[in-house]
Amino acid sequence: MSKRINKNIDDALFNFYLVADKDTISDLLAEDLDMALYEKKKKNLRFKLKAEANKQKYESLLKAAAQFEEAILKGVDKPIAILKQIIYRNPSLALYSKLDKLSKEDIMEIIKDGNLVDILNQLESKE
Amino acid sequence: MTLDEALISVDMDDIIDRMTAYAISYFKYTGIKQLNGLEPVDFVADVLMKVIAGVRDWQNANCSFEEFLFGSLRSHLYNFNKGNKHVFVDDEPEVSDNNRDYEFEDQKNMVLAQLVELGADNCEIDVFKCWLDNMYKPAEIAEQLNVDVSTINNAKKRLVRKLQNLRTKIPDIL
Repeated sequence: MSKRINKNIDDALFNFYLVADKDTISDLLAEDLDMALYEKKKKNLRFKLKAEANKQKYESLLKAAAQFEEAILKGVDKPIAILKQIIYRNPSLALYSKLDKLSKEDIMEIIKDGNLVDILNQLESKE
Repeated sequence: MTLDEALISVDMDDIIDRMTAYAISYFKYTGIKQLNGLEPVDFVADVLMKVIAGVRDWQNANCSFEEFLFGSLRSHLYNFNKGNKHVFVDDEPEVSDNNRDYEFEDQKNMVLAQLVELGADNCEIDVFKCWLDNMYKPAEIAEQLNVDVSTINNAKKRLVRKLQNLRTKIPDIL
């Protein structure tokens, strides 16, 4: 058994499918699958992926909002500065300028369109 | 780029198709027929759900989103392969570099002969030789063989189909 040849073939297949065009892939899939069944599974998968992505986003949003809320209550400067900066950058968020009046839902509204991973990283590195 | 942005920026339908085709091809090439009741697309689903849930962390990876997805699938397939003991044999006898080169040339010639028997034309054989020299990019191969990229891509499509059956034809070599 040649590990070297197997590895070359394995790499070649990997690189082929990484960039293969749609027509080629459609032909190859049709040779092996019941396409009606496959399309049904794919639709179900896309739905689950979207649901999971929304769930992940909501959890990140909740986590960040809770951290900001706590920072406002305790008067921790750096998270407050981050939140003020987000509000300052977006004029449509001007109505949220009084931080001590903000509910968790308000904070979620302020940060929902931001890069939540970035915001959470900033919050964690500032703590 | 965040995961959200990456998900929006890619054609997820196309990626699922390519990943599924890769999984099918991998199982055919390795000869794995028992998938424990799963289908190739289920392996793709498992990987994608883990990436989205952050179990497989793309944010800290040093590659494009698509490369990360394919790399994760490859790793998932290897692990399944290991679990089913279809792994490539690790206990090859120790041989000198000269003998190893000689052995490789010998095996390479047998594989090439088998490809010819399966109907591979000169262009497919040349592309396969490039792969054995670790050259995989169509543009590089086209330059090496002095033909256009579309010729290489067409040869690759034909070759991939033949490769899927190759291992079962010469199990002692591959």
